[in-house]
Amino acid sequence: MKFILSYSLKKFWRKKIQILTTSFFLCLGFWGWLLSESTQTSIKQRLENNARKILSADLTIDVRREFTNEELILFKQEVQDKGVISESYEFFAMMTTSTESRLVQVRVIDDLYPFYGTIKLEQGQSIQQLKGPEIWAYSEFKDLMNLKINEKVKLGSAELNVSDFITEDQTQTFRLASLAPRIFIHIDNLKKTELIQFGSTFSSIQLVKLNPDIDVIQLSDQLKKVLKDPGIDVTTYKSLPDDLSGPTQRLSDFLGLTSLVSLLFCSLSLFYLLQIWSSEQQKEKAALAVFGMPTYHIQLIEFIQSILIAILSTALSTLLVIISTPVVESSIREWFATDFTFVVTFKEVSIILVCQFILLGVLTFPYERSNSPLSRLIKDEMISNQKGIKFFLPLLLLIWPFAIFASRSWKNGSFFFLAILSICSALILIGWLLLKILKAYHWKNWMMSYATKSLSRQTTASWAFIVTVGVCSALLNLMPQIQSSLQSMMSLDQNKSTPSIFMFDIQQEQYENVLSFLKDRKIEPQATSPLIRGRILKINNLPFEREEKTGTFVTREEENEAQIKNRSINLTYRNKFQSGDKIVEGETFSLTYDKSQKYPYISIEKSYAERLELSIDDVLTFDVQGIEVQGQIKNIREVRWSRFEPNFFILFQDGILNEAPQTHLAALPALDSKQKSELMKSISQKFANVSLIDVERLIRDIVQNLNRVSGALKLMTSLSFITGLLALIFLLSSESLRRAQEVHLLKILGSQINQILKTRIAEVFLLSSISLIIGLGASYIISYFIVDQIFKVGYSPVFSTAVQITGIVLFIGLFIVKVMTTSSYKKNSFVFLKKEE
Amino acid sequence: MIEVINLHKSFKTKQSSLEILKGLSFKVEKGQIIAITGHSGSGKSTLLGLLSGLDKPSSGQVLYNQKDIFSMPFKEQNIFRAQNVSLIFQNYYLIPHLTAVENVMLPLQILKLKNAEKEARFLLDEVGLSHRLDHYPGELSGGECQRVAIARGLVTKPLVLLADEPTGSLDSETGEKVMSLYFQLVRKHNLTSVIVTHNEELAAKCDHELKLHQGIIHS
Ligand SMILES: Nc1ncnc2c1ncn2[C@@H]1O[C@H](COP(=O)(O)OP(=O)(O)O)[C@@H](O)[C@H]1O
Ligand SMILES: [Mg+2]
Repeated sequence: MKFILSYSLKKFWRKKIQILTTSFFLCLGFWGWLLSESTQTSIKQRLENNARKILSADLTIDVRREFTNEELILFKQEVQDKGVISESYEFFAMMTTSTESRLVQVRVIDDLYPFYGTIKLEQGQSIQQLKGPEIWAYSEFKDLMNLKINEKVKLGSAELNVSDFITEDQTQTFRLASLAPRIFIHIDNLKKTELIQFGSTFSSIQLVKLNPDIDVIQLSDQLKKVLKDPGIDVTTYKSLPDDLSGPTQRLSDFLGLTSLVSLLFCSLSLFYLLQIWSSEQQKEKAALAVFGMPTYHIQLIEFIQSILIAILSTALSTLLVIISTPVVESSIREWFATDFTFVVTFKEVSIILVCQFILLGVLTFPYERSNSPLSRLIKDEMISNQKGIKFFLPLLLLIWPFAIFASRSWKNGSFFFLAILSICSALILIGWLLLKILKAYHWKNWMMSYATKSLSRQTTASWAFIVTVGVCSALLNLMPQIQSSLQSMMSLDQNKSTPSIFMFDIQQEQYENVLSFLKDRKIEPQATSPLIRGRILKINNLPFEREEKTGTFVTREEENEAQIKNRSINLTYRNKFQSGDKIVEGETFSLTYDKSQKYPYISIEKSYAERLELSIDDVLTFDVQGIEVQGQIKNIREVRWSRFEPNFFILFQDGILNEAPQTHLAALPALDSKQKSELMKSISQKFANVSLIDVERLIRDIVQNLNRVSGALKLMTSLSFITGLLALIFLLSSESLRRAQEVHLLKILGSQINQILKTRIAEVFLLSSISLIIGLGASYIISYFIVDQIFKVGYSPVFSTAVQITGIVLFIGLFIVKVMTTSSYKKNSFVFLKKEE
Repeated sequence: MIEVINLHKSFKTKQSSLEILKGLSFKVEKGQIIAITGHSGSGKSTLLGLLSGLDKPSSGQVLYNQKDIFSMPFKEQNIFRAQNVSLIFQNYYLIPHLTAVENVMLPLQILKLKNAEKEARFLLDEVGLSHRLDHYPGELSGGECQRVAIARGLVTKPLVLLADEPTGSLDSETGEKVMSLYFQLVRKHNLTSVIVTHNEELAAKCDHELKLHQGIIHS
């Protein structure tokens, strides 16, 4: 045992260069992975923090009535030791000043509100100061109602004093229904208003701020179980929908993918490195066996070495990562303007270690003990490296679980794995065929025949090359394709200016007047839609139930599903599709309802349909203000949200909902600020109940966020690109080194440097061409599927990248081969050949 | 044929410079087979490397037919060697992805000479391997590999054949067989040959034996 250990250690020391190279590649892979993990976490945190601010709590329950005492007791029992509770109401009410009156959204708050986010006030008061008979109003009311500080307003039966204006409210969100300007009153004054009575519409809300160690999902599941009424909505900051979350979620997926890709590059190079190493060891192993060392001892030596390599290179790379952390951290912080912490935890280190063990274990596994007699191993062979393609299988199999792990999704992970698998199969199959053909061809030129023979007979090396270069070029080209598609999704629609004002709550009877009012001012609304509130009751006559999920490992698909169930939904009807709509499934139908139809037809937004697992011909039953309305899905439509048009998940045929209680909304085109301010004033004077929202600022924020997000996209793409290039350079130079002896022999036999270069270049060129054609071809097919199936955006491929990659790969390949071969050629051949390998 | 004049060779190591050859001078006549013997580490391989021109001396000359190979430009020297000098190694150094016949053809192809395959077959027949033409080195025994290497050395019809411990990797019986074939062929083609060996029996069969000891030739 002592001997085995000291032997392994000695050998280990002799291989320090290889160990350093291994560590370097591990470090790169580790880096890429950590970087994308941390970025993902930071983006997620950012989203969650936003959601917390909007919710102003970790969890809320709300219902469109008062909670019963029973419910409150149950609720408090569950939450009691877990956090603090704050109480709130929300409703619309008429606010009257001495001169004007209009419908406003009222938020009733208590001393604890808000748990998250801030509300900035003009006079610099703090939220705790809202106590007496007073209100705070959005500063928009200064324009809308000529509201002034200390003015008395009437709200219901109460008379209240305007004590401050709100300049910024982080608890507001870019969501259609919650965009209206608000006023805040204290809960102690609620009674006086007498607005909340039997028959009035309002929401009661209970907000919870949880202690840090409480699992919010678990609590929300528990509450859903305890509070039986499906009318009670339980919302957590994790389940709050947000307009940015769609693209951000996709970005997160993309980051997972880039980390996978760069990890794959690194493992390819590692694999190649270890393979060369292990084939070098064959001879030595045989020698040890000849000296009478038992087989298990030899394996033990290999195993000890593997452990040593794994531990040392993990330690080295961890060290490197830790050293470089501050720089990366600060630059990313700057980029995302957010708390970004870059943590190397025990979890990450152990995952890397385990992966390495598996990789090394697989590599040192004695595949061919039976069919490689010792005498063959001892015999001198310049290149003893004939393991064939089966050597790649373990690496491939290792990718699968890792892909699922990194993308947190069975579907996406398996898809990625299958993509890699099919690239490899295509490479091997076509490569095999081509080499067969090339070999069979009778070359006049000895250099070509030498090159093809060398390729077709040094199978492992050729396959390693073809597969690595092929996969590398496919992945290198894959990232820009996805990036470009995501980016074109995120960029705003250039043809259409973004809207400046949204008008809400236009009542049915004033709708025509509003339109003609706008027409008089030569303003054509970009879009108008009726809005009807409803709730899904049944899908195909089966009750639409509240979903209960437990367990900690939640994949993306499950998360989405939980998010969307049981939410009330805005419906609309229309007699023509909008320009931003694209029907992706099903058929177009006449948007006018025909009485002979069994059900009215509806069109469903794609992501909504997917999340609820709805398909064409499903029949949905809605509750529209107490009346059941049915509709059959006829098509699924994709909506470009970046147009900032008022969009609806569910679109009915014209003629069904027309009589339902409804309001209208309109988006007005871009206006200059003076025009806008004047228009807002005059609309509010003429149509007091119509809510107006200046959406420009909100859109600007979103655009800014998107720019940051695409910055991250570029960063990660370049990182995986660089890793890929390094892997290629490493592969090519180690292959050249491995074949230095051959160069010397050819030299002694009289070859000029040019002849040797020609054969080597022919080899590299042939292999690279096969790999590039197949790899790049595959990358377009795969990126199409990824973009279409996983990211669900339009595919916009770029072809210049393929040209660039071809150029880079050929250049690097030929350059390295030329430099390495020439430098070998110039060395003293005799010394080289004398040296026992 | 070959004339070695006052040849010095020293290796620079980290601390000091190590003088291996300390002024050698000798001649090899055309058609002679010379053995260079000496114990391991005495500098035999180093000397052979200098004779082949693959290594450079610290000082001194190696003349082939009165022509100093070290004064030739690199490229010319390379062609000169390929045409006139063949090397045989202890480890054979056959190219593993070429068959026996392809290995023997290779030097002719490199020099763009005609009838490569015919010549190669002929020589493999001479070394008694006409039945193993299409085998890869991995499929041949050590003795067979060395015979392929000898055929490859002879195929370009060189003037000089240099061999570095050609029997070093072979058992004595096989070694003897290979070497008797070697002598037979060298004599038949009227070649000049220098064989490095520490095998006294083999050395005795040569025309002349040069003993290398402490950097100096003792004949
Ligand atoms: N490249 C080199 N650098 C330093 N010393 C060398 C080198 N090549 C050979 N030597 C030394 O020169 C001596 C002679 O080597 P070599 O000619 O191979 O001996 P032989 O072939 O007679 O066994 C040895 O002591 C060896 O250590
Ligand atoms: Mg020697």
